[in-house]
Formats: sequence, C-alpha cells, structure tokens
Amino acid sequence: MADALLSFDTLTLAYRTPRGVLRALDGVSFDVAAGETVAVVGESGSGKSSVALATMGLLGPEAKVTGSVRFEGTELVGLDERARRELRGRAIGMVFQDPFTSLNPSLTIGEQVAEPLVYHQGLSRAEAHQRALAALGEVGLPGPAELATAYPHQLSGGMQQRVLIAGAIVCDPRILILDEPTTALDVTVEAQILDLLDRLRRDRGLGMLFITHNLGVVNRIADRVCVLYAGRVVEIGTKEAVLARPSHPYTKGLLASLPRPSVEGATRRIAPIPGRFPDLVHPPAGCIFATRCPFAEEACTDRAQVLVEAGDAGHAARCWKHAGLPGWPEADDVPRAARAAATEPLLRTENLTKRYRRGRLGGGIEWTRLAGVIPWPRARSETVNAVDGISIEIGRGEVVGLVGESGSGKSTLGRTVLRLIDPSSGSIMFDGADVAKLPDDALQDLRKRAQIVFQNPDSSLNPRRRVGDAIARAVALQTSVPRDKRRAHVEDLLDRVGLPRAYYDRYPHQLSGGEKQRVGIARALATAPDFIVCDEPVSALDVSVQATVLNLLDRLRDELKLSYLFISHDLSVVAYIADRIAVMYSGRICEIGPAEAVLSPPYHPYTQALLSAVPLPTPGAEKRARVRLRGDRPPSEGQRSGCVFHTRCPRVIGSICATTAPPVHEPRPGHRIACHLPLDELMRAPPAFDDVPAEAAE
Amino acid sequence: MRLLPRGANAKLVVGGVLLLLLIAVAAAAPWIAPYRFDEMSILNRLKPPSLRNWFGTDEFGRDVFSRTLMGARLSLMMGFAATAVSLAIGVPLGLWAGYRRGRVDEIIMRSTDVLLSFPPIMLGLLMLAVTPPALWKLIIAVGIVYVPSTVRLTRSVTLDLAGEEFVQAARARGEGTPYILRAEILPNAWPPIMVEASLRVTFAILLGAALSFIGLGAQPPSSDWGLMISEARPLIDRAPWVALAPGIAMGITVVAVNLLGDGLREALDPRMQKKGG
Repeated sequence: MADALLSFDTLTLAYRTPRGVLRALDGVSFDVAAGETVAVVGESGSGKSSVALATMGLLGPEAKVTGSVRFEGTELVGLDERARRELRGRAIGMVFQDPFTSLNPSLTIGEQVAEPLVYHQGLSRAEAHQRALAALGEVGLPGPAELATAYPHQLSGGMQQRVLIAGAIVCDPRILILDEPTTALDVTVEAQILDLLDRLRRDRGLGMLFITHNLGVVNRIADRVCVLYAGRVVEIGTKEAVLARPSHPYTKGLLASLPRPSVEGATRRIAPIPGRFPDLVHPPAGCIFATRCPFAEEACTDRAQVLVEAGDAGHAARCWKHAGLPGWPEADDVPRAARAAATEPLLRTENLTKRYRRGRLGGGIEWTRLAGVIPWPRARSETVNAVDGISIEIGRGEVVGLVGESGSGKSTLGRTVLRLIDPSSGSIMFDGADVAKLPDDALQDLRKRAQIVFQNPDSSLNPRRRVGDAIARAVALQTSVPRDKRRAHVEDLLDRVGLPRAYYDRYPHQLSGGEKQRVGIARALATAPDFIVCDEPVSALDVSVQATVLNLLDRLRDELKLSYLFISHDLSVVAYIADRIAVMYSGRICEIGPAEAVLSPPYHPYTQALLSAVPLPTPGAEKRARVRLRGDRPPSEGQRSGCVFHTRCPRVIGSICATTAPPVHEPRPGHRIACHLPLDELMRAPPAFDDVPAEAAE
Repeated sequence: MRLLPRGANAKLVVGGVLLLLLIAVAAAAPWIAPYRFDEMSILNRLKPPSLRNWFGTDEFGRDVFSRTLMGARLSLMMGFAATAVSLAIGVPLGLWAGYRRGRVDEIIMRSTDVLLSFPPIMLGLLMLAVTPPALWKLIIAVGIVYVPSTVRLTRSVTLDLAGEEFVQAARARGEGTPYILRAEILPNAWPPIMVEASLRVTFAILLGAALSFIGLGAQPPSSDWGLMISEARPLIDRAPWVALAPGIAMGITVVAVNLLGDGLREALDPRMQKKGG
C-alpha cells in the first residue's frame, strides 16, 4: 500500500540464549494505513507484543532487530534514542494492557495526561492542563475538571483505561498502538472501551495497531487481521475473509477451539489444536505449524512456507495447500453425556452471606470521641457484601456455572462453600450436613469430598515441589492407598488428566500453563472428591489450551460423576460446560436457571447486557444491537436497599428499583429472574445469539 | 576462562571453600599461630607489619596476626550461634504471625516492637548484668537482639505466600497449620531469610564485641575480632594495622557467608536449575 502510515517489512527479532539464537519474530511484513485498524492476533509466545515494542523501540539492548519498520517514511529500526523520543507519545501513541499498573499512583490524573504536552509541545502547564481536560472529555469521562485532580486509585479499571487512552491521544498522534487494551477489563466495560476506540478512529482518522488474543474483539474492532504464530505471520487479510473463510490451518484451529454458546457446543466437545508450541530456538523444519497440523503431510516439512495469495485481494496464508483444505476436523466422536436431570442436591446454601470491612478508598481518618470525650482517630471503612444472602443448589453430577464480572463475589462464594473463607451467616448443607459453623478440625469429610481448581497456573503449584509429590500428599492425607502403591496411583492420576507418567518428577516451572492446570486438576482429583469448585480454571490459558482443559473437565465429570461449581467471567465457556447457569452481580444472584433458558429470553437486564457484550468471532455479529451499561461500578453500601443492579441498569423503571427488593419471576420451573419489570416486558428482549433456539437445546 | 567445571555453582563452591578454610584456621589456631596470643612484649609496642610480626603488634606488643587467628574461634562461634538463635526464635514467630493474622499477629508484632525499641546494648546489659557473664548467655543475648527484624522479614514474606493458591489448595485438602507453615510456606520463604541471615552474622560478631568491650563477653586478654577492633579504635591514627587484620578477617567472613547463602539459594531453587526433560 502506497499510503501506509506504518509499514513492517521482514521485521525479525532475535535473542541470543545459551541454547542458541531464539527468533521471536521472523520476517513479519504488513502495513497499517491511516484510518484503519489492523489487529495482530496470536497466543502467548506468538510475538505479538514484540511487534508493538519493536515499533516503539522499547525492546531491551539484548534484542537484535533486523528488517524495517517505517512510520510515514521514517525508518524506525536503528533510529537513535533522541529521535525516537520525539515520535513516542507525539506521533505514535501507545496504550498498554494493564491500566492498574500503567498509571503512576502518586501523580494526579491531570498531571499524567498533561505531561506529554509539556514535554513534546512545550506548552505551559496551564495550557497543557486545558488540553488535558479536553482529552479527558473526549474519551467520555464525566466531569474532567474534578477528575483531573483525582489519583489513579480512586478510579475504576474502565476509567483508568480511558485515562490512558486520553494520555495517548492528547498530542494528536497519527497512529495508536494498543497492546491488549481490554484484556484486564470486564466484558461490559470492554464493550464501552471498544466503542470509544472505534469513535476515536473515525473522528480523528487514526491508524490503529490493535494487539489481542481475542478473536471476538478482533471481529468487533478490526478492518484487517494479521494472525501471528511462533513469530511468523501465518495469515493476513480483511477481517471478513480471515474470520469467515480462514485459510491457514492454525486460524481454522483457533476458531474451532472457541467454545460458542450454541446448540452444538452443548452436544459435542470442542476441537482443540493438539500438541505444544514449538521451540523457537530449534524450530521444526519446513512449516512451523506442521507438528500440530491435522492436514500435514511429508511435503510440509520439506520446505519453509511462504505467504500464498488466498482468493480475495490482500488475503494470504502461509500454507502451500491452503486451497481446498477442509474445515478443522470435528472433535473426538465421544458424545457428551446428556445433561443431568434434576437430582437430589449435593450442596445447598441458604442465605449464605460473607461481609467484611475494608478501609474506604480515599476515606482517610475520622475523629470520633471515645467514651464521649477522648478524641480517637478511626480509619473510615465500609462494609463489603461480597456474598449477600445466596441460596443455591448443586445436584449430584451437575455443573452449575457461576457468571459475573470482577468484584461480583463469585470467587468468594466458591471459597466460602469450601470453608476456605468462613461465612458471616447462613448455612452450607453438604450432603445433608451443615458445615457452615463446624470448627476447622471437624471438616475432614468436606476436605476429602470437596476440592478446588484455581485460576492461575503459576500460583496454584508450590514452585519447590515436584508435581508428583504435591499430588501424592493429597493421596496420603485423604485416601487409604498404601504407601508403596502411592506413586503408581499418582501416575494413574496424571494419566487420567492426559499428562505423561514421567511428569511425576518434574517441577512446575518445567511445565507449560496448560500442563500446570492439568496438574492442578489431578491434585483436586487425588482425594477422590464428589464436588469441585472450578475457579476460573481456563481464564489464564490460551484459546487452544483452554479448549483441551475444558474438554478434560467435561470428560472427567462424565467419567467420575463429579459435580462442579464452575466460576467464570466468560459466558461462552460457562454456556459450553454448565447444566445450569447462575448470574451474579454485586453479591447477589439476579438470574438462575437451565443453561439454555438463561441464554435465551426472557433475560434479566444484566444477563442481557452481559450476553450482548460478549464479542463473538462471527463476522456480522459485531453489528448486532448492544445493550450499553452506564458506568462500571457496583452500588455502594447506601444503594443496596432495592435491586443491586439499579445504578447501572439501562431498563430501570423508577424509584421502585432503588427502594424495593425485586420480585422473583419463574418463567419456567427452575428458571428464576429477580426484576421489577413484568415478565412479558422481559420476554420482549431480542435473543442475544441467533443460533440458540430457546427450546431446541433440550 | 573457566576455573570451575561447567554447570558447577561457582558461588556455592567459592563461599563454601572460604568458610571451611576460616573454620579450619580457627580450629588449628593454637598450632599455626607464630606466637601465643597473650604473649606481651613491652619493647615491641605498636610495631608496624614486618617479617617478624606480619600484621604488626598492638599496644601491649602482642602479635596481631596470632591474635586474629585465635580470635576467629570466638568470633565465628559468636556470629553463627547468635544468628542461629535469632532464626530459631524469629522464623517460627514470623510464620505464625503472617499466616494467622488477626490477634496472634498483633500480639507478636507489638511484642517485637517493644524489643526493637531497646537499644541493642541495653538489651544485652539487661540479659547479662544480673548474672555472671558467660559465652552462651552472650550468644543468646545477641541472638535475641536480632529476633525482631527476623520476625518482621519472615512475616512479610509469609503474608504474600499465604495468599498463594497452592496454600489454599493445601487447606482445601485438610492440611493442618504446622504442615502448611513448614512444608508449603517455609521453603518458599527461605531465600530472603537466608540472605538477611548471612548479613546478620557479621553484625552479630560486632555486637558481641561491643558487649565484650563493656565487660559482658569475652574478657581480655582473650581475643576476639570485635574486641580487637574496639581496643584498636583509639590507636587508629597511630597504628591502623591493629584494626586492619581483624577487619580483613571479618570482611572475608562476610563475603564467604554471603556467597554461600547466595549459592545455596540457587542450588535449592528448582527454577534456577537447568530445564530438564
């Protein structure tokens, strides 16, 4: 393209390691034009962030960059530091992934947004402040003047991300580089940020380089897509072409690995990409993807692959046989077991509540009088209703999905039912016995029969312990397997979760994220439990790995008749695995029911907003009507008298929402919605997924 | 150029060898010292280093080299034993406070704050003044002085680790608190504690010397590095060599202990080892 704003030409990035040269990027070439959004998609290790860092010149001195990156004709590779600083922030704006660490906690918002103006354009403080206020207004932040005097910790994550975007556009750059800008945010907030970015691009004619792992987000924001695998561009083209007619096997596999909230997901397992990410120091000969490709043949390993034109203009794939390739093969033909019918409950909570007090943000100190006379300082605090009177049942062999945004209390609920956190009040009936108030040393039965799988594969295993020992300890503690059979037993467990038996002697750092998560599952299985709390077990994993872990959990449930409380912020994941879904907001459940009932109208307004915010990777889906929520914060202590969602609800009907607890509708047996709106009004919501027929899923 | 075989942990080897040498010298001191450590020679007062007295002589004409060799015994003993005492008391308290939080935490931390508010010498005095001085009492006194900082460090590391998911997993399978502290938290808390402790050894030697100086520890004419440095302080402008030898000895000890600590940390951490397959 002649009028490219930013163009990459055979960009290669190499690191020297003790084992040899590691090529993090290998011959990356593509362009970004003004007013265009190009998404760079890839899994961890694909080198997608390195593209951004190489552009900004933020790679360390040990990185060896060759090839070319041109910005408006200026060569950026090898540019000296002074000239780079001139471009950074001024002509090229950058937004990083994590808003919580990207802002300096000890500077006010106004100072941070105005800073580049003073530095780059030599404006006076006062002028810069005025421009900063304008930028804060432009990114949709209310009351810029007051906001400018606030500190980052006083803002929610969504607001912080807006501030970062304001800081990136304040110098009127011509291109924005965004590195996973919405990954740390909740879906409803993510939708707001994506809307904002799209508006900025149109209003200012910005070019955007959007780096993400989420194909749904790509579909919503990108014009063109560049799929990166192991540092190589494997497919590039317009969004419609790549997502609707993927040509490279890897792209096909990525799309097939996504759980989709549809009828098919409920009856068939997902088809994951097999194998492991290649070693970039000694990459496989020929096609880099050949070892994991179901279509690979001998010819694939003979020669390195080049990008081949694939039908549409500008659509190319790095695969010599892409033409005429069939779709990604369907998953193993093991049919998923029919959803469990209602059974006697294994776990039942009644009015379970967990409150705790915490210092109020920016609350400071308040002087009270002790015994009426003595002045006494007290930190201003507030009560957090993390779990606010929840009654929920989980049957034997049943999977209940618990969905909600961060801070909704879903993890606290998961840990409270396991008594890892002590409840404030309410009861937890586990197999007929109330365990809510038992002392810690009387919990052995619960400890044996109820287990947990955690989110973060890095923190869930003790780094100083061989994985086999970690599992063996649980076996020794809670089962009667004799000492001399333990090792074999643990190896059987590793077998069961699909790991080689030799992994017994490995340390966690020698495993990949997905393998660590499997170890975590094996450890949970070691006590032979009936019930497992899965606390975001796939959220930290790449899509292709996520699919295999989900399939594993699903298979184990069928084989071992397990019950899960499956906690996730990702509705598609929950829709895939759960029999029933509970939607949680600010400590309360606003809707609960069979999966297919929750996923189709009538919806609770919050469920509707969540569902419509889920970015789907199907081209065309980005155009569907979206419910936009106001703000991004749960209600404060004083606003909890009525419906907890009333502060953000787009369908709020009046003061009744704020004052009176909502009645519970039951459109179908077991499907309950707590809302003031009449049922036929709720019924009128359009279905969020066209491919989810209300009744056919049963 | 490589002095060590590939893959060997250089820090561990160098530190270990140095420390072994120091201990060997301390043990063999009476036999390898050229003079008796308390042999005075009024004619040879404050002689600079020479072939006869390698590190010169002190104000009583005693051979500094011989005294340094003999002093290694008391000083090393002092440093290591006192550090061990502070670890033995401080680490369990810190683990407990950091893991249990709440009231236990408050009580332990406020008690250590009280301890921390005493000047170290005062604390030693309190311990030793009422009973006749003895080496083991001195060691315990110095050890106790360093308990508060050990508790604080251990507690802060434990606070972070207690929130880790593998600790939650241990609770979920029904482990008791002692097991969790010992097997899940302690191995991960060791590295910073080890580093801190290796620095502590030298401070313990110096504090022991200070207490000796006011008559509560090693008594003249017996020799101890700290005592030697304290005694040489008024002479530092006229005869700097008197303080030099024990100073160098102490420096070597610090380097040896730190290298050993660092080396141990690397050797014990599975993440630092080569990726095996």
